Amino acid sequence: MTIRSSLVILAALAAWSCSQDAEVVSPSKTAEWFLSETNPIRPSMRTAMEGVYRVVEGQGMFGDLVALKWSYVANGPDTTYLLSGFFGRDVAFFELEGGTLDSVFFFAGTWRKMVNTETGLVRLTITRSQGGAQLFQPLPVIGKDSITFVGGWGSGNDNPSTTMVLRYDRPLYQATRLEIVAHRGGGRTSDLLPVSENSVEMVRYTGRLGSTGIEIDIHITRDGVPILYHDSNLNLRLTQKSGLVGPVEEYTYAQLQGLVRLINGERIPTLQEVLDAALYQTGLRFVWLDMKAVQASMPLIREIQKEYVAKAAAAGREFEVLIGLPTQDKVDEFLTLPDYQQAGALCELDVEKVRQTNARVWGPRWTEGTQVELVAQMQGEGRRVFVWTLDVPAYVQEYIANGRFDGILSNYPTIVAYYHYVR
Amino acid sequence: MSARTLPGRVARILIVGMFLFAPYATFGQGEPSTRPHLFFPSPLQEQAWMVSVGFTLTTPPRDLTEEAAVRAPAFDAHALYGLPANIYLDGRAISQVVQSRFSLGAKWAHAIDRFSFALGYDVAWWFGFLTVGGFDSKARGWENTPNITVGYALDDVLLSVKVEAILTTSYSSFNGENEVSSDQGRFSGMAYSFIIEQPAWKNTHLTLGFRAAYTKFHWMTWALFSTFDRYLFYPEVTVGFIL
Repeated sequence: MTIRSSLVILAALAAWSCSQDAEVVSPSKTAEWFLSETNPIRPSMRTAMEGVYRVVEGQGMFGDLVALKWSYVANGPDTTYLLSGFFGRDVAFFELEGGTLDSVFFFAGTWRKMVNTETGLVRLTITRSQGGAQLFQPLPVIGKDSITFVGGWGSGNDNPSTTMVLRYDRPLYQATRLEIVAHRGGGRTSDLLPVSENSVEMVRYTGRLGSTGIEIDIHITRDGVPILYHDSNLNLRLTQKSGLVGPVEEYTYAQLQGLVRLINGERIPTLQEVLDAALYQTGLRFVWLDMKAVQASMPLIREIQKEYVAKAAAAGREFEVLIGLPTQDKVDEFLTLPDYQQAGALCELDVEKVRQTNARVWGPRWTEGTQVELVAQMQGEGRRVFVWTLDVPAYVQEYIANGRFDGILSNYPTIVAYYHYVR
Repeated sequence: MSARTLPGRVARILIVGMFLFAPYATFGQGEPSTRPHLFFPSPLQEQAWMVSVGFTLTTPPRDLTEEAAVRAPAFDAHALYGLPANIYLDGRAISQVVQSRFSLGAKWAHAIDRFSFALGYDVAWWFGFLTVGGFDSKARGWENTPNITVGYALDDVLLSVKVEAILTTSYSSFNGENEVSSDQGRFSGMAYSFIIEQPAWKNTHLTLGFRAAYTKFHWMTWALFSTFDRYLFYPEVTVGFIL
């Protein structure tokens, strides 16, 4: 047998060896029709039931504690409120819709472990005697053991019959503020979420993961439209088959709108579409514009930033949009702005560049450690420090416990939320 | 083939198989091979050496590397040393300077005419460090790989198929002043290799191998700090010149 024959055999083997993509099969929520028969949960009730709960039944699957927090997605006159639970094991979380009937609270939704593909249904109730009556008071008095969620969880589409019991332990930690910034508009495509990264749909989705802010990736189309897309090139990692290849910035906005769909079917959005969604439809309060654009675009981005600062003020919303400066090229471009001293920036380079650009936020890479002294120095100058991109749960715990950061950028906002709120 | 369920099943078969074959280990009567090989599971003559040097090229999955295509070849040195009773030592060093892996194990081989097989157990230690470009990271870990190799000898070519279970027994990583360690042994995945060993030119023999690893953790990707707890596919090509 010749060497050439051997190489052909090996190449055939390599081509044959499968690399089946993992997938998350979203559980069907058709059995949750009964929620439409319930009454909405009032704001005072929602606020009162937020807190850290002990997992009395279900620890083996989810861990010992869960932080419960509400989020919302506004859609015209309809607003959907979701109760999220952030667990410490396997980056697990659940998202539930709820309602009340005869002083009983009903909740139903799904759970997911972000590090793998496990998912399933959850149903929980709070009966009148397990805290329901207290929650109906005009000013609910909540203390240890005063609220108990009882119900179950199941795998996939299985009936959620495995018992889950959550008992109120203490309020969510709020002594210091931490910005929980979700990567890629709220979540990464490779984490097999139901919506694609850097899409409007993801921005609407990410609040249920515990995010208080988002980082989004900005490119500029050939005809000068700022859009969201992470990679330099159109590829099958992020988009469905379209026949289009090559640099995303070589296409016009119309071409991308007409011919390209993200991996879960969404359109590539414009920056303004995403900022509108974040400002008017979610509770997000922080947006980090990661400037990946090859084309010079700083004046255009600065105008959009000013527009949304004004819109947020008009809407009475706390909403900050910062221009990310990841490279020296972007710093140089930023410094050409006539008002760069006033333009809010987040600089990822060293602290001297942070001072030079008068950036409001310094963004060090997490692999450089907690850098407690430098962080304190920046904070002493009136700046904030957001570390990126911190995903390993043990490091998230370590950086929250021993770091002094004002924000954490993560692909797993749920685990950041967990370790922050259970402090 | 389901990449999610296959590794666990094959690992169980592998471990049960090793226990079943273990009692015969001291009674194997295969003929020691004099043909140059590193992967072919033939008994080796006592105190004989087989050595190869070459490279290994691993392609990490796009779920980890995303847009960047990280494919740096690693220097690969491999040696066997014959012991009595059809047992031989199997040592291997793979290095990309900033990260390296050293393994040492023992194999028991048995030949039946042109067929042969070997049962082995390798223990590997790996380390890596990155202190440039915003990284202040290092990591190290231990890995065990129980394995079975089946071979068939053609007139001039040795064909081998090797199945390995990958057990990550400890892992430590450091970032700045922070350390995270895990000493819990866990099954990480499986690897399936097909190897051809044959004469190349003059007296030079060549090893050409393709390894398909389905694993939750691959030591070469430590610097990516993967959080995925799911099986990912790592194709690997090995080329070695037998000295």
